[in-house]
Amino acid sequence: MRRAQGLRAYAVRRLLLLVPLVFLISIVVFLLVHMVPGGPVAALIGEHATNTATIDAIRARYHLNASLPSQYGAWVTQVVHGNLGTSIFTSQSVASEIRQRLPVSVVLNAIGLALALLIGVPLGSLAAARRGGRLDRMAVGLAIFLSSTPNFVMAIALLYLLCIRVTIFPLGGLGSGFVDEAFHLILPGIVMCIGPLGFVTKITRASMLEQREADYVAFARARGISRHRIYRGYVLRNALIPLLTASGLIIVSALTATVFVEDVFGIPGLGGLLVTSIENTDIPVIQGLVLLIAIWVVLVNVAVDLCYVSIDPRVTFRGMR
Amino acid sequence: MTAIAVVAPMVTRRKKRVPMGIMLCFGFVLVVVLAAFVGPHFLTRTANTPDPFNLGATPTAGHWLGTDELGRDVFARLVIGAYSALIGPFIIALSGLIVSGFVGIAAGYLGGLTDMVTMRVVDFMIALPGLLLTIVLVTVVQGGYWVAVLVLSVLNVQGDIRLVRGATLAQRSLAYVEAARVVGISRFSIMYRHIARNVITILLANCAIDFAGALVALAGLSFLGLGAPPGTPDWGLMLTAGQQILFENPFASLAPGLAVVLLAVSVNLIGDWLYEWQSRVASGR
Repeated sequence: MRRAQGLRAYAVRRLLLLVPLVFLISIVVFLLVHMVPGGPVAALIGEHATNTATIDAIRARYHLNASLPSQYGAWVTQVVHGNLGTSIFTSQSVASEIRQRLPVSVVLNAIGLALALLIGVPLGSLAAARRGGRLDRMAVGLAIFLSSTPNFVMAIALLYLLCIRVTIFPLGGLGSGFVDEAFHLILPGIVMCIGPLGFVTKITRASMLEQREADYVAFARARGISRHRIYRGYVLRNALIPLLTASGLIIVSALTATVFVEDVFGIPGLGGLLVTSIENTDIPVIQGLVLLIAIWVVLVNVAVDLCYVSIDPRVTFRGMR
Repeated sequence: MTAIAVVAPMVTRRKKRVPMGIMLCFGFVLVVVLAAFVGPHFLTRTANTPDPFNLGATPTAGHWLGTDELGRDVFARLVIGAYSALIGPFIIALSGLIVSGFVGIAAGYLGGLTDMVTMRVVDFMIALPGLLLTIVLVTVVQGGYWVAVLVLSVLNVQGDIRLVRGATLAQRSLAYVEAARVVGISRFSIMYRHIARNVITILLANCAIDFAGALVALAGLSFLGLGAPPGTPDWGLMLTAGQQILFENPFASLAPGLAVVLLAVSVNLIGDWLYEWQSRVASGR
């Protein structure tokens, strides 16, 4: 009972802390326009700002003649109403560009993370169970190889092997129709999982090895509980806690991978959008994406912390005995 | 007069030889270092001379790895590109070493407010998506390679600080630190002469792993066109450019890709081995 109360108070505190954090993020994102060499006008209409009438129009439209705080106020009001500005390059609204491209990236991230967990957790635990054996050495080697292989290198290598050398998969793009789209996403999905996979395997193995030595394992053995049940019921469950604490990093690494994977495979998602807006120095689009990514990262971190404290009964809260 | 023979106890120390795999890793790193610093003198062709009759050609005796989309020799560019592949990650790892050495030991040894502030900052930085942040900053500031190196140097330091702080905490309660304090050695000297010597190995191991991470990150930035300026022989840039002629000469992108992977794997393995070596020494075996 006490614990539930403490947990609720902690959750409320964490969620309240989000308010100043989001405020801080919004200020940084707002200032991005001012960090561009050449100032906000150059950032907002590209490098061809020669016509004074255009410049004046831009200055008026974005309230650039007002003071910085009132500019920020005007910008935030727009953002809260879902208006993230317009792309310099396509003249489309940033919000609609993001909305169109969001689903593919979400699917791709989900595939990558699911694959990493489905392969990494069993592989890491098997490796730990057979410590020093051939499987263990292979798993460790694989984890090191995967975590030091950049995903764009893996993407290009697989593209060459499986799309050009042996034509199993399509070369890129997204295709049309559900089945075709799913087929187009197989190879990118596999590449998405490689970074997280190495990480998940390494963490699972290390924490399984640590848990194996714990007193409760010896005790359970002494009580005659089968090794299998100890592993499945106790060791694995405890060993997954470090994985949970690290899941923030894992999710962020998948997010980073999206940029490269979508670029190599030509998938029209958020990563692809970021790369195009980088090439065109399309600051409004970059601002929108940064805002989205930052809020996502913050939410993931809070969610991970909340999961962690609610799962682990050993965590106590201040004022609770 | 009696001669007293002092027989020193025979120290039987089993020779810990460096394993074969680690030797290979050191070997590969050495090859890349040689390629970066003396390689260019032995090349028969320069990196930027186009061969207009051989655009995107497959490997021949004249062009060991074929040519790229402008007919430039891929092998020559690979050798010259080794320099920019090494220098950035080296600076990033070195700055991590220096900063975390000073800050991490201070946080761990002094404790109190220093420790609290440091760890708050570190916890905050760990939650940041480092590479994405670098991508955005380099794009907005339009800085290129050296800005990328600077940003990555800053965003790399948090893991090192945490590690050094932990190692310092473990050292702090050992007898030699107490003895030094009793004798009256200054705090500065205890921290940066005595404790530093005992945490340097684990820090070096971590720096090797930082180096590999920085190598991959910088290659990624160049791959997106944010690192090395266009036209320079850089492994990340070669990957992007080579991707367009994957049909004609796959080696134009696969060779630099393989180089990045091999270097990163080698350095990572060396780092892991240093860790293990350190923990063996620490446990006195």
